Amino acid sequence: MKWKLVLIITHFFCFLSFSQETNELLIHVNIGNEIVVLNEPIQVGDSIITITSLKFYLTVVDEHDRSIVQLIDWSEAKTNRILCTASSRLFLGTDSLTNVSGNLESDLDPIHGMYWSWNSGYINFKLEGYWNNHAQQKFEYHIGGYRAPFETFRKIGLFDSSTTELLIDLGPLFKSSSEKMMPSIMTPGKNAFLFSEKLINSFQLK
Amino acid sequence: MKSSLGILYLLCVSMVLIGMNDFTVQERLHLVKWPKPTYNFKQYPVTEDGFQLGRVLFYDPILSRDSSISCADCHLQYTGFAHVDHQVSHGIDGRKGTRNAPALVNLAWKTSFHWDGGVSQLHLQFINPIEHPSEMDNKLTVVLERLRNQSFYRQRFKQVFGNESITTMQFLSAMAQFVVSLESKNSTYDRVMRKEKGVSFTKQEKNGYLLFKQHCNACHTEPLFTQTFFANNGLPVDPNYDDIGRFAITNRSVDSFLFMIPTLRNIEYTFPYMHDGRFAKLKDVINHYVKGIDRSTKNLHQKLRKPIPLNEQMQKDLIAFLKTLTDKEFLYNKRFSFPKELLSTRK
Repeated sequence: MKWKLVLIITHFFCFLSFSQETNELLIHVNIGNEIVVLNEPIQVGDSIITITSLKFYLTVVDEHDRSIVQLIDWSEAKTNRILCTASSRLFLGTDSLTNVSGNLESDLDPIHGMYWSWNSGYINFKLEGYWNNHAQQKFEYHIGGYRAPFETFRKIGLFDSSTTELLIDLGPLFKSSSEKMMPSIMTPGKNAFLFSEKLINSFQLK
Repeated sequence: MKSSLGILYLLCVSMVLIGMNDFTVQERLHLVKWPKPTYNFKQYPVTEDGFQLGRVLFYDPILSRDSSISCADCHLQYTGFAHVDHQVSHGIDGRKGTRNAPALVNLAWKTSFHWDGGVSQLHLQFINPIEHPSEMDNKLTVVLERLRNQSFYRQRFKQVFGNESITTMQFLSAMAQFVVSLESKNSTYDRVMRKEKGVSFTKQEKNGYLLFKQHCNACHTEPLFTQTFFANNGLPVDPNYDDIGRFAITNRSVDSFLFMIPTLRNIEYTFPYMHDGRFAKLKDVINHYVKGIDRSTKNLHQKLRKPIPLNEQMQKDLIAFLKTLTDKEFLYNKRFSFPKELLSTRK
């Protein structure tokens, strides 16, 4: 009888330690005060920005260091939320292990267009669009890379039970005029690294 | 007591010998001499049905956008699964790539793929030629949909994976099961090394082998005749391509102009040579190492910093040895050839 009691108590504590309360985190993407809607122009200073594609990976690492990777695709409303448990850490992108594991299931399936086939690894953040209503004035940012010294996997912050929103303001990325901005970054390396440094400031947990 | 110990000893020896009979003499020797494969057979096991499915996929042009070319178009069995006489890979609509299609052989021992080592695992490699605009110019999603629409493939995938989902991983896994099985280890060189009866090097081949050990083996290391590291072999950069090699993957200046070291197995049939296929003949390759190396180039491999003194006769001897790496059993093995019997069953 005693051993049954011990078993029940052990199970209870295991349950407590693994079944953390999960909260849904809603994701909002803005440019300044304007909500980003794909293919709809937004005035930014003297320029007009139209975003045609926005996808990125979020990695949630819980207190037991178990991680879940989720693809956020702004063209699909159902992906604009993510589940987090208290004390979990939220990262932008995919870690180096995910990049080399060869596991291509679910959100990591290359069919989502976030996998570099010529250089094994994931695009962590993809942003495409054009300036000033000119389809010719394109910008394409495919930001990724897991090799040192140009890693682009970045910590967003620590999640707690009061956190309900992830706010992403892309405004600072478009502070420069179209002429001054690099029109595209398509490979891992220094430019992607610098872009990701700037980009991470756009992500804020609330 | 002593006699019973003796009997026990004999019994043990007999059991070991009986156990070893599971392997042929050749395989036993290979087990001793060859390194362990780096491919993770536990995680990605090879089954007969999986191998056969991968074989059909390898030869099926359905993978390309306009269904005009298959993997086998640039990787022909009879030429060591390389693209004979084509400097760079050819794609649909007559498009050309920028690099020579490498030979597919003994891939279970490779730790990275492509001339710049950009691909880390074998099953990940297939996505690149399928989606590359200069090769098959297709989309993985389209390929999977095409396969799902064919009862032939639905049945085959069910047979191999237990369901008809035909996922990315199932597709890539089947491809890998065929390609990882392309093992070449029965050349004259192998037979000589195994001391098989009646097989030996000629005097010229033996001379060539000694020269090879002296000048080439550091990078093209036997028995695989390749290495896992990358090297700059002093080729002047072709301005048509401006190929920076491994630097494109790592962004480290020490990797500028470094390329994969290709295996020399079946080298007689895998021409043209080098990452851009610039040399048509083996004698052109040897000539490059004797008097064509650009020693001002960045990151030149240390073994190539001093001249390689090979006179004309030595060069001929070296080529004679390289030809002993031809494995005709592999090149003509029907198990790896076009699977007529399977494609004919498609409805």
